[in-house]
Amino acid sequence: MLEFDQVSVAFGRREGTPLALDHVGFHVMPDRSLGVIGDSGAGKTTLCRVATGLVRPVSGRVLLEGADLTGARRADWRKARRHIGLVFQDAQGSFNPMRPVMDGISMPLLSYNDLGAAELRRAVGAAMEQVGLHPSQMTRYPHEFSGGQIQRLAIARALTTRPRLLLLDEPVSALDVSIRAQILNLLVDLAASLRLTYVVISSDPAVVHYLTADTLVLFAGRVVEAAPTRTLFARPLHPYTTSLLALRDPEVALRGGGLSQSGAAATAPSAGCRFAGICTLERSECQKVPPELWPIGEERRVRCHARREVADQKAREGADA
Amino acid sequence: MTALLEVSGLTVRFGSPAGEVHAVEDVSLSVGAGESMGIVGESGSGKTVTCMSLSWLLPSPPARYVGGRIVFKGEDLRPREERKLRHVRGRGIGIIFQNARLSFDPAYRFGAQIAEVLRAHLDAPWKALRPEAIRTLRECNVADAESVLRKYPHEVSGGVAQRVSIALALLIRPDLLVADEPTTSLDLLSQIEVLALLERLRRETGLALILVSHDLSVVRRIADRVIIMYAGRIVEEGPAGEIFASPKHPYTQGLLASALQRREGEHLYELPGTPPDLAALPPGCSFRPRCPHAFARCETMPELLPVGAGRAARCHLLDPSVPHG
Amino acid sequence: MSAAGATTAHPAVPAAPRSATRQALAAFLRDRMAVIGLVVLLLALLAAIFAPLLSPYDPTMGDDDAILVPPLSMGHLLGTDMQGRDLLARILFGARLAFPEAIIPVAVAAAAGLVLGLIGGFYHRAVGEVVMRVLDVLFAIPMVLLAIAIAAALGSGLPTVILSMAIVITPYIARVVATTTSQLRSATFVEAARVSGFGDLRILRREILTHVIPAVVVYSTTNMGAMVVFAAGFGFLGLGAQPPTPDWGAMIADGMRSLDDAPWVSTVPGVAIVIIALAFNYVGDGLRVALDPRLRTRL
Repeated sequence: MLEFDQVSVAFGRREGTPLALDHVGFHVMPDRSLGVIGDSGAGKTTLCRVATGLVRPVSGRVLLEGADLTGARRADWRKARRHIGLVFQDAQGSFNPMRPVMDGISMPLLSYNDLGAAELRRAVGAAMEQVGLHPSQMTRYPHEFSGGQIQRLAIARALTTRPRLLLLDEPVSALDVSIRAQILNLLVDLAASLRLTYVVISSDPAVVHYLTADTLVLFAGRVVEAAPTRTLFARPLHPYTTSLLALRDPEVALRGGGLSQSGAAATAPSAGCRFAGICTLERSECQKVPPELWPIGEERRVRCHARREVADQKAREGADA
Repeated sequence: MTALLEVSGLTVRFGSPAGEVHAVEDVSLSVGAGESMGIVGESGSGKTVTCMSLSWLLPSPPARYVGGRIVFKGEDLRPREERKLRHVRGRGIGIIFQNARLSFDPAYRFGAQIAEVLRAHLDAPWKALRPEAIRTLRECNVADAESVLRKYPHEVSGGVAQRVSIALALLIRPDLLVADEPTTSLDLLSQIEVLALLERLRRETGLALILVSHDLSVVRRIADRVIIMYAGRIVEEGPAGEIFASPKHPYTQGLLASALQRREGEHLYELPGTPPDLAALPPGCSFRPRCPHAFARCETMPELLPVGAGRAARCHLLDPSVPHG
Repeated sequence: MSAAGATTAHPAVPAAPRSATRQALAAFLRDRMAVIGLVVLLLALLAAIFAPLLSPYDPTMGDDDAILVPPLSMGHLLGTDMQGRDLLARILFGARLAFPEAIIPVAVAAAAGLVLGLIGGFYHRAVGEVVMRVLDVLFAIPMVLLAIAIAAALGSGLPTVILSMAIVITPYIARVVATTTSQLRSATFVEAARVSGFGDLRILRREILTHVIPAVVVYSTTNMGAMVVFAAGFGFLGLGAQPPTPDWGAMIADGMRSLDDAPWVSTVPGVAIVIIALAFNYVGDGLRVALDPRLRTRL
């Protein structure tokens, strides 16, 4: 449904500015939701922006339902956006505070359909009910809603054009812990009843674990690991992934293979791997040669010298057998 | 061991156009030297107000200190004794805030601000203190400490600012460090480092720590004892391991159940409803509207009663003297 | 679907809330000073319109027998000036100048400022830059000198005053609009509008204007108070309506000579100016709260 092919996006317009996304590639297949976890740099939100055509990559291709939209004109993107829903990270901010939420929710409808006022209200009401809110609230203003309700409204808006793909940027991070479960359950229900596929971006791995079938791990704009979600969480390979998961889950920490806890700040650039100097699996080449994203088996990719050896070894064993 | 800090019956209210907000009601806690305590709660639980009240920091008005006694190192701290309090703030009780960058003045470089604070507390000239400051910054994993001193707060990342604020708090050598959501807005690597730093400091210097967070996993790693707050009151407290292993209060149970899931596809346990409006609390137990086990007795506020060694919970279900079907 | 999400954090939902206009009206009416201000303005406006009927005397006709009569005297409620002209009459007729002088320049400036500001704020490249430079030029023009220059060309009078003030106020309004627009360009809800497929014009109309228009209305209304004072200043300098037409500012100037013996000649128009200016200000304040949904639904 959605494919990124070696997409790179720069932060600024001048030459030499750092990359927000660095040769990122993935496929999203129907009914297999994708999760994106990693540090909270600009990379993850930029991904959403590129996928909806708000930002153009400096290299690589963006394909929606097989169509290459990378350099497409505004009009073409406009047509394509009908099939993607986007739920913004700042749900409260994504509604115009001066207008009742009804106006915000009906935006996609107004854009793509020619509906009369009554029909519009009915459609908005239906969308609200779908996410568990009462249609009578549609005349209220955004600031009158709680965090959880605004999140639901944002989801309702994204669903009005009946897209099959929904991009969710940090859908629950702004919410109280006790409300998160409500929203996550809602998303699971909607995926089942409306046959939705999600791309979920979250700094909380548990969210991704709950909602997705495949996961991508980003660091500094690069993919450092990609694997089916269950596999990733059961056996993370990349040290960064291991440490990320270990923060929440002490059991992962016990198994080792993560980043070391002390040492200088990791973002000091070196010629080799970004984690050289703080990695427990470090080898001699890690300081000098940057690792590439190597496939491990059929479903996984890892950007790590140490893990690659494991993969090669397994491949050799497989060839021998 | 006498407690380093002992708080009893702290009650803080705020006036607001919507009515009086009961931010903190009758909170008592004690922290011993070298101990670490975690305070868990969501927005509106009162955890931040409690933190800020430990050295009577909140400007009053709009805050009203309706009641409470704070004893630090054996001395009774009164809200209005500014001179004594100034001594305690920083040197006795240090605080680091959630958005570290905002707790610095954006118009001055780090070096100047650190110098100013140190001069106020340690009574020594900057020249003498500078090497130590740099050393502490390095220990806090601030890379390139010298150049950081010359930078302005907006020129560094949140993680670096957080580490500088920890370093600053440590330079004054407090007995107790209060950290309000220290890792919440940080990226992974910074989180790892800050937590590791705090753990190491506790080991090496016997620093007492109060860590406030809504993130259970962070609290779990560091805290010896945990306090769970809801709607301004303590609803459960006890040793961290025990609370996480077998929570007694329905709110704690719900929180843990909905946060620590690993199954996919199934529904998460949902705590229904939303946290209450502190200006319009329902009568009786504040958690009643959301509690799956609420019964008739819950119309009166339960007391905080012991439920095991070193544990306490505020729930009628756990009160043996209350009959419930 | 769990009903849990359906309950709001607020107390019981009342029947469907009223429309935006009625909410705004209700919020405005709650502000006592704003209502008083509005009433004062309406009364003053009526008085100005019906001046010929209400006024006991001809404002331009002097009465040699009634020179410098103090207020509250028989037949002259507000007294007379040194030519024996009744001050009440002159105030009433002067209002017929004061209102246009307050309202028209601001209305013109608001319209021009809106267009310029939207362009300047929304388009950051070529077109927007050009507009901002034009505004910079307008900013640099000092109002009184401009008025003198225009008066040299068109002669003193109402059109001169109105034109000068309109030109000088336009960049201020434009700047407010441009800053707001510029900030909103990158607002999340504008991005959301783009993702929903809206084009530039639609975004300007639906999302940006809803922020900008209330700001302009409030800014303009409050400025009208200032306009009354400025216009009086022009009158004082002799650039406004020429005698014998009563102009509040000119009246103050006239009364300067007899300030010691007959302070009321200057004070009466002065008080009128203050009252009208204050009334505009209070109305502006009330509008500020009434037009922003965030401010008006707070308890």
